[in-house]
Amino acid sequence: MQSLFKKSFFFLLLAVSAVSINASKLNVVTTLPSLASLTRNLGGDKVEVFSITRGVQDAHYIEAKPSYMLKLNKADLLIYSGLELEIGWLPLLIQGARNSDVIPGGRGHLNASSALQQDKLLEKVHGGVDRSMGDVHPAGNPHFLLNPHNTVDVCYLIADKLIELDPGNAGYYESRLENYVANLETKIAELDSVASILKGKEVVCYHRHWSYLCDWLGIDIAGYIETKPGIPPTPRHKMETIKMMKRKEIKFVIISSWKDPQKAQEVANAVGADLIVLPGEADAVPGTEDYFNWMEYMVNQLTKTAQKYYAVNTK
Amino acid sequence: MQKYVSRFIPAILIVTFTPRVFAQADASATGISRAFNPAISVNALFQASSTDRQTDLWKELGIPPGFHYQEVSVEMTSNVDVYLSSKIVLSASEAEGVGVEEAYVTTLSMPIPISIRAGLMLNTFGRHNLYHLHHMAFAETPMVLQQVFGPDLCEVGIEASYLLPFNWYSDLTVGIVNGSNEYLFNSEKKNDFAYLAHLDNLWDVSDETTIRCGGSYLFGNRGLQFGDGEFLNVGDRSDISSIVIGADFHLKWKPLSGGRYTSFVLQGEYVNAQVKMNDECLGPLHGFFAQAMYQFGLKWWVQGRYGWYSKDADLVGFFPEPIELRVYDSEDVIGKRISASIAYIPTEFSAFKIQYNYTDISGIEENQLVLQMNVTIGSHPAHKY
Repeated sequence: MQSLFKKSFFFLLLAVSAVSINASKLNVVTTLPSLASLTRNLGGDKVEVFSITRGVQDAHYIEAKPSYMLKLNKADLLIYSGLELEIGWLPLLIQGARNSDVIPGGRGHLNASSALQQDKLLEKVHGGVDRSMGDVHPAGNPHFLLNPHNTVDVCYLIADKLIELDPGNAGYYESRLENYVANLETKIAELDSVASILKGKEVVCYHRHWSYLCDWLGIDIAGYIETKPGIPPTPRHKMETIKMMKRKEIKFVIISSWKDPQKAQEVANAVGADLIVLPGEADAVPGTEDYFNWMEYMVNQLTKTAQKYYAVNTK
Repeated sequence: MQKYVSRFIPAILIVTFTPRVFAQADASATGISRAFNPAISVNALFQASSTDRQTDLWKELGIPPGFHYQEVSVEMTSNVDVYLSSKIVLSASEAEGVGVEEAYVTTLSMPIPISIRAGLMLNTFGRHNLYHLHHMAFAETPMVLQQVFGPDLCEVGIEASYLLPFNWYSDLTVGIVNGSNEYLFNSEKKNDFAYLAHLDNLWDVSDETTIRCGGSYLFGNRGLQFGDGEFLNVGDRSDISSIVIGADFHLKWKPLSGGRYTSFVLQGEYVNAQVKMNDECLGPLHGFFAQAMYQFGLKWWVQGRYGWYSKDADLVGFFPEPIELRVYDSEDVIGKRISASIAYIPTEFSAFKIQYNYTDISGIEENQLVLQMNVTIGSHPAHKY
């Protein structure tokens, strides 16, 4: 009997040790692959990161799978975009997770959009809002990570939270933050230079996804193929967009990789413009798992097309 | 004099500071803060139905013919405080009048991974019973659930759910409820409760496919009287209870890429109800439904359902019956329904369905065509997976 007790105690000790080894890393769940990439870079080997959405998925329309509740149940930290991007599924996951750390107000609940000053948020709806306006985000467009200047602010926010949750490794996180932000700023300057050809050029987008990217690169969005945000185009709206594109001699149309490209392709074909399919999130196409690579891929895609039409003028 | 001064000074203070207090609370025109109002939504379901039978037979089993509103419900959700959230659903329907459909609180955080719901709620028996009418894929509740629970199993009580420490999602719910369902319980004894348990398991077969299996158990003493005032003819015996078991299955496929444009759901439940009277089991009343839903475009779904139930002759009289069926008192009642429907769902906030039902209950047949319109306004919380 005594032997059985000793064995049980030994196995219990082993189990506790195993849990402690796992527990030495912060368990982070993010809603977006881009947030996961930033957290991995800032947290290094002190964090274990899981992203709920994949790059090929539209984060507006994710199913609240109970298996994600299980991930959140074990999480020390939840990082999400905010601005109601995840409103259709994240509240259900948080409720089902039964983890007091990740509920709103919990120490492991982090809204990435809170890093940004209000004046950095685009397309905030002023005045009344209702559903006849389509899928609008009253507090602002939630795709703010498409402007890497915003990402710098988000990096500081994430690093602060990691330090708060794991103060023993504060120096480690601070050092990684410093390096990462320095690299990011270098990359921004490099991409700014590459993308100078795009400045002042007009494009048509399928959906209001690219506002921050275009704002950063100085591209003017002349119109949208969707009638209203989230609402597929009517034939009349398509015709009006085609007429406008012809009049303004717009050479390219941008669409997210997760949208059905058929209608955007029809518009582009009618005008003789290029349809550029951009990864709407990190990891949406191979080689864009890392945030840097994602930005670089998009800028390269845009400049490659722009050079086709505008290279002579820039010489 | 001192008395007047003592009244006057507080009055001056109130006049001086009250506007400032209001101004701090909120800048609304009325000066009353609306910042903490609950999220409010209204769901309205309208139907038009045509049938080849003009009797009351289907009143309790299906959809009455003609134009009518099926249900209008107002849903309010909000956190109560730092410990609780609350959901209140008020509904009005032609069949059941105006009433409180649900009113319960849920714990926001507990020191252990347990969630507690308390109040009037759709109880956790299987999956379909948790759906509100506007969330259902078809225009009506599956026959076997209607037969066993009536419109639904919605009781006042308390349920606790515990996330079991497995590698897959496994959620155990146990509950104690009032036992007032008139089909199953309606016991005269005031301290008679009903007890339920549900185990819900979900596995990610792949990133695109999930399989969910669950089992349910419900037990409670039952009374001798139905809701319509009729008494059972069981002599002086009164030791009667209802035992219901259930199994539910749900498969969902939604591709990672293009999941907004195509998906597939296969769902089914089996329910078995028995009445135990002085250690003798009567019944069963049992049956199942299986439904498949295929999304073939951003806004389009095609759906099919087969439902079947059998009620043992022993149980005739224990569950409310449509009048026409009472001629079968000495025989088992067997019912089946085949439904097919096409749904056009422009957004999450509106849906239009056309549905055909073929129903056969112990040889009495009906063909029915139903049109349903479902609209939601306001801030409606997302539905569970």
